[in-house]
Parts: sequence; C-alpha cells; structure tokens
Amino acid sequence: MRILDGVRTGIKSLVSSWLRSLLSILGVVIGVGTLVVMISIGEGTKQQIVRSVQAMGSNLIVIENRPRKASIRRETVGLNLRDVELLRKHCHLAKATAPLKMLLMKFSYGGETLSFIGQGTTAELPQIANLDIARGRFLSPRDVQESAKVCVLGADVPKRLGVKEDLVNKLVTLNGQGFLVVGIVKRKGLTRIINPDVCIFAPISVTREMSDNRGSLSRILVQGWNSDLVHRAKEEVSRLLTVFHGGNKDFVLWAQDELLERQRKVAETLQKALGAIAIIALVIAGIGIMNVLLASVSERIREVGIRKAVGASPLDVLMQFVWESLLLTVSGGLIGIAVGIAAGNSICGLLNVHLRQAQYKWQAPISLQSVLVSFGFALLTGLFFGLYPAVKAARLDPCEALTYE
Amino acid sequence: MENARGPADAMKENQPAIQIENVSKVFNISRSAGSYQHGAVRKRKVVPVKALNGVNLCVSEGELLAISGPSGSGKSTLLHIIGCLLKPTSGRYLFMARPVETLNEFQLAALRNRNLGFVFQAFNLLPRMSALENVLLPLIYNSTSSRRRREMARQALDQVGLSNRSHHRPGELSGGEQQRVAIARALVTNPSVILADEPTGNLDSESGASVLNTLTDLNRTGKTVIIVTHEQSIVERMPRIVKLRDGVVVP
Repeated sequence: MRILDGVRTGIKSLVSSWLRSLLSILGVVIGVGTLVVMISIGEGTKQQIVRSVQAMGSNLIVIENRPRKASIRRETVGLNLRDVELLRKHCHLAKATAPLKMLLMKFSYGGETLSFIGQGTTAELPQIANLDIARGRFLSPRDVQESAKVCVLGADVPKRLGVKEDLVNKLVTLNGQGFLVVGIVKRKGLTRIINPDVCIFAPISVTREMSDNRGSLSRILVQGWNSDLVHRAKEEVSRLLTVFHGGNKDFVLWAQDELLERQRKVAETLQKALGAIAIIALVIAGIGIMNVLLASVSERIREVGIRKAVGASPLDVLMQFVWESLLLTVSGGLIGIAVGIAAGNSICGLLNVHLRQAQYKWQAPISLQSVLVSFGFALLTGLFFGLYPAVKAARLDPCEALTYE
Repeated sequence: MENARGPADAMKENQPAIQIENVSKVFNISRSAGSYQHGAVRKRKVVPVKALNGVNLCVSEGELLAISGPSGSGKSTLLHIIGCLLKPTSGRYLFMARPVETLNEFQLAALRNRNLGFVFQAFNLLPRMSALENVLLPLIYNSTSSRRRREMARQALDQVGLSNRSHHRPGELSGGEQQRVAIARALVTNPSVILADEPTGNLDSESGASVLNTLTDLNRTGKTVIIVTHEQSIVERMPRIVKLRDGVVVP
C-alpha cells in the first residue's frame, strides 16, 4: 500500500467517526498547546530576568549587609558611608562607587501625600545603574557635599500622586521638610536592585540626617572598569571591606554576571517544570488516542478480515492504523500550536496589563524550536500510542476476523 | 513475487492449480483463536476440534467445482485453506505448484491479492465505501496507480452488469447486487482462482440464480471456480462435486 492510500484511508475512517476523532484530537490540542505556551512563557521569563539583571547597570558589583546571625559579632555596624569613602580612595579596580540608603519617604505636594521608597545616594548612581534623566538633572556632587535639600523623582512618582504638572523646580515636602525637585528620571522598569520608576533620590548626606541609623547603608554599588576586571574588582572590594570592618566579613557581595547566571538557572528550572507538566498532558492525550484506536480496531475486526482476504499484508493493516493515529496527532498538533501561540500572546497581554511595565514588555517568544519540539512530541505520542492498537489489528487472524460478529 | 499464472498457463493440462494431500485441520478452541466465536465459557477448556481429517483434493486449472456437505462437515475450513486464509495443521498444500506452508504472511497476502478472489455468503463489503471503492480495494494493496485502479474497477463492475451502480454504497444495493459487487471485487485483480463460500446463501432464488450464472460465466473465461454450498439446486448444475462429511471426503 502506498503512503497516499494509507493517508486517504485514514482520513476516510476518521471523518466517518468525526465526533470521536474530534474528541481525541482535543487531548492532543491541549497537550501541544500547553507545551508551546509553557516553552514560550518560560523563554519569556528567562528573557525578562536577563533584561532586568542587565538593566541594573554594567560591570556591576553589589554589596549588601549580611543578614544577622549569631555567628557574627554584635558590634559590627554593617555597610556605612565610611566604607564608600575608603573604597573610593583605596580600590583602584573600582571605576565608580555609589551608596544606597533606603528609607521611607512621605511625599507631599499640592495637598496630596503618599509614601515612596527613598534612596539616599550620590552623583555616581546614574552612571553605575544606567539611569537616564528625562528632565532636569540628577544629584550633583555639590548637592551631596553641601547637603542640599534637593531630590530627583522616579518617572511614575508624579502620576502615582495624581499630579499632572511638571514637578521640576517645584518645592515639595519629604517627611515634613521642604525639598526642591531638580530632575525626573527616565522610565526604566523594575531592576534587580531598585525600582527607579517609583523611587525618590536624595543626597546621601541629607537622608543620613533623616534616619535614625545615620551612616549605615543598605547597599553599596561598585562598577568595575570592564567585564574582564569585574571579578578581580570583586575580590579586591571584598578584601578591603573585610579589613575596614576589622576582619569581620559582615557583608555579601555578588557580581552582576553571577546573579544573571543564578537567575537564568532558576528560570530554566521553571521552564523544565512547566515542560514536564505539558508532557504529562500529552501522555494523557496519547492514552486517549490509544483508547480511541483500540475501540476503532475492535469495531473493525471484520473490516481487517476483509482487507486481509483481498491481499492486505500485516504491514498494510499496521500502517492503516498507524496513519490514523498520526493523522489524529498531527492535526491535533497543528491546532495545538496555533492555540498555544494565541494563548501565549494573550497571557503576555494580561501580564503586561497587570505589571504595567513601561519599557520592557513581557513577551512570549514563539521560537521555531518550541514549535518543532511540541510537534515532535505530538508525533511521538501518536506513534507510540498508535502502535499497540495497530499491532493488535495487524496480528488478527484473517479467518476469525472475517467471521467475527 | 512474480505472477504465478504465467508458467501455470503453459502447463494447463497436466499441472493442477490446487493440490491438497492428506490435509488435516484441528482447531484448539481454548486458544484466543476461538474466543471470538465461542465466548468465555468454552474458553477455559481446551477442546481440540478436528475440522478436516486427511483430505485429498486435486483441482485443475479452469475447473468448476462444488464442495458440498452438511454444516459442520468442514467445507468452509477446506475453502479457507484453499484460499490461504488458514494454514493446515498437517498435510501438504500446493497452490500453483508452490507449497503454501513455506510462505510467510507477506507472501500469502500477495498470493491472495493476485491469484485468489473471494466471494462470501455475507458479501463482506465495506459499508462506508461505494461499490466502486469496494471493488478497487484489492488494487490498493498491489500498488496499481489510482487512475488505473478506477479503470479496472469499472471494467469489473461492467463485467457483473453493475456499471450503473458504481457510486452506490452497499446499503443502497439489493442483496444480489451486493454479491455481484463482491464478485467484481474478487475478479478485479484477474486472479486464476475464484472461491465462493455459500454465495447464494443470503439471497432469494432469483438473485441467487443470477449470481450463480455470473460465477459459471467466469469459469467459461478460464477461471477456476470453487463453490462451497449445501444447496442441492446448485450442486446439480456443477460438473464436479466433492462431498465432505465429518472432515473426510466421501465418494
């Protein structure tokens, strides 16, 4: 029997019991659709993570306070402004260093008050963290030096407050003190360290006076000269800080690319887990197909007998049922891919609406690879689960099959 | 496998088409083989049933022959063995001088396709296909081109006088017409031997007679025709009769 005849015979018999075919296809559609969505969402998550890590800055080293444990001596103060000054003076592998001191800021303007996260920092931050200024300017070294009551707002701060006018060069109130807004940061989206869109930046010297814990910092950002030197810079910073802290390593630090690697692994694990779910769905679909084909075989024992009597070889009969199974999974697979692409896009649309991420849209990239993998799995399912019923049919004794009632 | 009819034609007079020597067939009812027909009750016991017991039969090319006998005498079993649908338990069977027991499933399928045509009591047409599609079914399995297939199927339908019914499904045809479609299917590959198992059993006397005429006409074109029947009216018209009783040929 030629392939075309096999396909034709298969289509005929599937069409003649179309409702059953449709129901068994549904399982494959769901399985393949899930696989496509899972792969593309996983890929999208990975891209998103990579982007958010890259958006942090370039050649970045982040130093954070080590969470307090009993093993660390109590008298440690953690990261503080002195560390920043010493690093600037002694660490030649650091191109730039900026402190971050986080504190809650009550922002008032025109009768509206809302709390935001404030970051006390220095003029180096935009360069280190890849921040661009939309209007006005960022904090200057002089602002920091003279403890000027100025601040720079994140792009979404005025909107959150419900203020439509341009706030640059306006007087606002932060924690009850008057500040002059000198600039607004360009919209950027969430990064791994800060969310600059809803942040208020003020000179570190000012925020230091506003908080109880004075000189202590939440983070120090160090920028290496280039990607080759980052890891040497990291070691140098670690060594120096340990010395500054009297041999007490009460901080943790990581380079940007390490974080990227770590996050990527997390995303890949997620992707694998999602893929496994989809494959389980496909296996269930396969069992459904096997069920349909077994029913179809036992319904058509007599037909098999007739075909064998007129000269169909066992292989011809086998292929007839294999083709039916493949046709079911192939058509289910094609529909599933279409459904998967559509579902992936609409899920992304929903995510984007909810996350309101301005610059980085969440995407569900449909790669050729994901489509091929899903389709391949569908084919394998069809072949694997179609084979048993087909073998069963091929092995039927022609004589008994002919007289079967 | 080459067409076995070529050399057979040359030796028409002295070479039998079918040579059966001391063939026996035992059905073991307990095997899964019996389960379809005999249900679960008898499945538990192993009951060997001897359907044929040392049958000898020689059929020359071009012969018209009836196998008759009461039901259970083994005549259908013998026909199935002749048709290579069943392998004998013991004995030798030469079809066109070829020992059938040495052939594998694929060779048997090809043999059935090219050299044998079956006509059954229950017609055994595929209900979802038109008459034409039913007739061209055997041609699907020997790689005939689809255009040639339709041509050959039309010719075969024409031969049984049903060319005007080619697009009807079996359900839309009368019993006699259905059986003639089945005959067309049996002869579409131009086999040398046509086997008919109670071909008139499900038909009224009029259409039975017409089916029988079609079969005897085929014999006149040189085909070997073997008809299994228990109807006396058919047996009387046959030039040669083989009588079976309890799996043995009786004189």
